[in-house]
Amino acid sequence: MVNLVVEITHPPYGHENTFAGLYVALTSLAKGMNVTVIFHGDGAYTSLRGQSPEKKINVLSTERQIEDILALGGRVIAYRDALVHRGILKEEMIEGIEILDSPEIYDLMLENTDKVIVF
Amino acid sequence: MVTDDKKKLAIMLFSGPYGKQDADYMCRIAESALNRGYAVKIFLYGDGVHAQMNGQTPKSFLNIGDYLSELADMGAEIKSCSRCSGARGYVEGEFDEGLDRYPSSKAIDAVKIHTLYSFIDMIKDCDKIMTFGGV
Amino acid sequence: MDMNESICILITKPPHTTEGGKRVCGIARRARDKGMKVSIYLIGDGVLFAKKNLESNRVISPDESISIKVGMNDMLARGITPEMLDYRIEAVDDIEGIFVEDAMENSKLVFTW
Repeated sequence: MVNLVVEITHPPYGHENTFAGLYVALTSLAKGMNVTVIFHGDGAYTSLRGQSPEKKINVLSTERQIEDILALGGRVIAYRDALVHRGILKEEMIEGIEILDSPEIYDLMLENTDKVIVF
Repeated sequence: MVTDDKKKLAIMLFSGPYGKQDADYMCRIAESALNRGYAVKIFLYGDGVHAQMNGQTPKSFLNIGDYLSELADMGAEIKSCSRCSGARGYVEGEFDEGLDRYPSSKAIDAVKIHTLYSFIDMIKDCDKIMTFGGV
Repeated sequence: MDMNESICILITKPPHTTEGGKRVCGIARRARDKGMKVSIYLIGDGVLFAKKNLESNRVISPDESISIKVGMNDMLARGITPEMLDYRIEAVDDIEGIFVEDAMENSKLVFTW
């Protein structure tokens, strides 16, 4: 089984990157890969819950994509540093997203990952 | 010509040509890989699909459309995302099963407009993957 | 070479624009600390990582475990001359070819940024 990491480095909606990356993660899961999504830098903003883009700005919700990824057995992780720098608290985050320190995430990539795609 | 015993490299391009240099880097890497006997599969995604535009005439830059055509002649398989291509006005009809592509007079022949599933297959099947333009 | 012991990193972006630069340095150092061999290739704006006198959290110092190569053409295009590099960093022609072969033949993981 392929162990895939999809890194998201942009906040949602201002760039297509986040949606596109999560779409790749979801489709890869559906095709039997083991997928971990990692929010790095501004990607940490994607972890905020209560997004309502469909009603407010007429775009598809990345929150819903994350929920689907978790439901399919994917893992979603945010860098603790990235959250702290941006003032994002755990209670403000989508349920199910893990918070890890940089060394733990580096270890995950170095030990358990076959391929990395960065968005 | 690609044979099954060659190691396979998948490359994703997410930025459009000329605004950033990512397409240049991608093409240089792909060419080097082909010259060294590796199989190369390229997927254009997001604004990367603009690399497929027919009739590019950059005055001061490397012509990415021509470069992609040369890479295809060298044996690279090049596909682009149908959803992203459709959003940007390239798709001109339903998927053609016979030609295995969506029709487009606006895209160069070297690039087949295809579904995202073809990229997922590249990720699964290739030995290594490289990404350009996502950041 | 045992693939499980090596990673390859291609850097195309400058060091300070986003947090990505710091992250890439962190991954390289962590891999080295775990006993892995790290090969870093700098092309495009990534050659700017090779310039001397960067602030410390964007510096990756070459040593027995970390090798750094920089693309000569991209470097000279940006006004970076060999005298401006750390002496342990190697400026090379055909960096793309060297990188591809290293990535495909020797590396457990390839990280492009």
